[in-house]
Amino acid sequence: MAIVSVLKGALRGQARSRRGAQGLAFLLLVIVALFLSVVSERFTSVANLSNLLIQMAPLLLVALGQTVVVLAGGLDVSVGAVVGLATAIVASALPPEIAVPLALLAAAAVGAVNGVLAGPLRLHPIVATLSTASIVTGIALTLRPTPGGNVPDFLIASANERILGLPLAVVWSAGGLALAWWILSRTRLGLHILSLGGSTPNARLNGIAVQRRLIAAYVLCAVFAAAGGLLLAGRISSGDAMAGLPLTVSSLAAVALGGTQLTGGIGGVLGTLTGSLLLAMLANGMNLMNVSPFLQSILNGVLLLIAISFTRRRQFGL
Amino acid sequence: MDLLEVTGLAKAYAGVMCLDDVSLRGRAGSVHAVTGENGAGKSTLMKIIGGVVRPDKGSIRLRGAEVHFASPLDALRGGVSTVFQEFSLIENLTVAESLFLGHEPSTWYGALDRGRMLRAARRVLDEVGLDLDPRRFIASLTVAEQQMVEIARGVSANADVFVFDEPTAALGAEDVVKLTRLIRDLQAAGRLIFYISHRLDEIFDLCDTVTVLKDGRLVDTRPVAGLDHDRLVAMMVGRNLEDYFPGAGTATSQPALRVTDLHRRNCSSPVSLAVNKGEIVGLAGLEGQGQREILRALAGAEPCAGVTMETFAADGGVRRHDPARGVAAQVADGIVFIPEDRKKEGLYLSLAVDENMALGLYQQRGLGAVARSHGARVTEMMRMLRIKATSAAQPVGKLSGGNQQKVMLGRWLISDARVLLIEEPTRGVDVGAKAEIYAILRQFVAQDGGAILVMSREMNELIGLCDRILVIRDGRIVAGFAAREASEESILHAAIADAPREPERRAS
Repeated sequence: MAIVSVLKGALRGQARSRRGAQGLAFLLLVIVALFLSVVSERFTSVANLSNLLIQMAPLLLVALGQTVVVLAGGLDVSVGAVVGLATAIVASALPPEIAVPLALLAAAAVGAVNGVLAGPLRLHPIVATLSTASIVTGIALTLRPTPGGNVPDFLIASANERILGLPLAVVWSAGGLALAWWILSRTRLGLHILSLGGSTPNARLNGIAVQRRLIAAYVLCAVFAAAGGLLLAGRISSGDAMAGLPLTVSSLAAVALGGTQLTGGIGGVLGTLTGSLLLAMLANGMNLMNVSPFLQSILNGVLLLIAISFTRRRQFGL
Repeated sequence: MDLLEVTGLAKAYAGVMCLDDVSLRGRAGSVHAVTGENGAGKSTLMKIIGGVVRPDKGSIRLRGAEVHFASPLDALRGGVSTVFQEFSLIENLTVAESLFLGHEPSTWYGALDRGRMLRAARRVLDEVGLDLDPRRFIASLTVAEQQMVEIARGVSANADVFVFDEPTAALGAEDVVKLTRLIRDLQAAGRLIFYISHRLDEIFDLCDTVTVLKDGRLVDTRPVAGLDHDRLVAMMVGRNLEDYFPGAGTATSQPALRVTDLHRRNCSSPVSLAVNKGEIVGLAGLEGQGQREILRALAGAEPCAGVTMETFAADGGVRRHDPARGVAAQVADGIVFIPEDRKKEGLYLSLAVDENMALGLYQQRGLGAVARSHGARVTEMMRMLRIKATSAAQPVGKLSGGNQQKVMLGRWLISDARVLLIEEPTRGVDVGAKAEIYAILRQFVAQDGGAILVMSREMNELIGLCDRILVIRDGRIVAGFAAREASEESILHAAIADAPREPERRAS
């Protein structure tokens, strides 16, 4: 009974905001966390929890970028490829002060291409970004056919070390989260992106430069993905063109689990944090419980279906 | 001096002239009505002035200088603010965000200044007399509140020229008073207000000048003071109807279609009607009284709880039909349906004229039937209907509204249909093509005894086209007229007879 009333409250809250089903996502997160802490002692250990946060960091950064594009009414399935490209560039022979900006710039270029294809050229976002994903993976494989290379030390440190007990990856996550939140809710660009997702034709009537804002959203998404790639490169200590590919699907899953509507306009970065935590927690917990990876995949799918079925299409709030 | 001067505007959509050589002058401090029948081009004209649509020809001068608006925001910056008929609001934004979208207040480092935006929004809402929390989301507002927000948005932009496109359509009496007061204030401040409406009362109450459009052309611009209702209506209607209707009188006394006790779901009263061979029968009535549902139920496009539906062949043989079996079965029986929204429900816009029409030939054949050559029949039909297309291979989406409707008709004429059920036969069709479509329909019933049941919102169309008119009210047939004895008044009278009269909207 108590749960029902909490659930109702979470649902009602949405009707008066554009946060989407964030309350619901958070509830789900709490339930999963409680369950895991009951069934596994190791789950709540500080070591495990900080490990979990480190594992989550690249996914979170990629998913934050994905959130921006999804809120604008688009979809980007090239993020995984961009992660791969970023790891390949940063693990090349170039000095880090060139390689890191280059990785971010290359990602921005990919984002711009995505935006132009999906915006002015009016391709379906999935088709457009699927094509660029394939092209980008090809380029990354050309740069680095097999995993390897030298990743700058500061990236490796970022992914693994701590300051005052706080993993540096968590600092990256928090910084990315704050930046994405600020862009979406405290800048004109953010407001325009939300208006695009609400109704592109009406945004145009209101004088928004619709195409340019959409391109900006894709650029932001790709740059966030590249940041995720840098962190991933640090964690695996190598450049790997294929390493990011699973992040495409899990970033979309994190966004959807976080209560953001895939049709755009409704949702936000806090939901994405929840969704990313949920995915990381499930992977971590199921590993602790020795659940077979095959079963893990099935459970992830089921969870996603349940979460998405709570957010009906094209409806404000819920 | 004139604040806004428009000269020789022309605009065509897909080959149909929407606006042809229209000129207009507006003074500062004037409330200028723009009126005309549906499809007269009022909205297109105002969209051009508001920067939504670019004209094919003509020029706009604002304060004597020629302007070319690329977008509504561009127009707003130039001093023209439009309150759109279809809302331009976005559901997931708040009231404050909606008011300033596109020209948001920003801080010194370029970020969004939410505090200032909220304060400014409160001020604007206060100005237009709207008691609303600016932090509320658009989706949570009523339609009237949304309309008022839309108006507030225009006011906040501080423009010189305001365009109101049928602003009272969604407003209740109280909000209409607010709006009137607002327009008076704007007028007193020396602004120019264009007020699009076809409600005569509003024009006489509110406006000082009126411009009448008809079929995309300018009829005249006159001071309201020198006009009365009748003369304004005469300007709006203009042409005599007889000019383009082919004339009735082909009806026989042999029945072609008989419908007995049509029961629709959620509707208690059964409907019975009959159409004779050679006859066109019209269904009239106010919006939403069930005429559309009756037609669709007979076509099999909407659920039907039971009916006896019979058609009569040339040799007198009777066939029974069951609309509950769906559209496909009805079509196979020669009873075809032409929906109002031909683009969404009728045609395959990306397919060729040829394929759209030939569909009629295959409707009664099996899925595996081998296609036969139909080129000659389609070409003949295109010639007969005078369809203007570059070739039979041209996609239907590229044709004008009138030609699309002819393709729709052609599909079923080619299939040897016996009974046509038509919704809004000339919606979105220009005048010339209307006359041709009327002639085609009349010819269809005149030749070997076809029958047509047609529904239309335009009463003069029903009067001109049909042999007989049935008036529907509340799901029942309440009156039947011979079309040549009917008038708009008599139909309207029957359509609203027992309905409680609407109270006077404004007292003064």
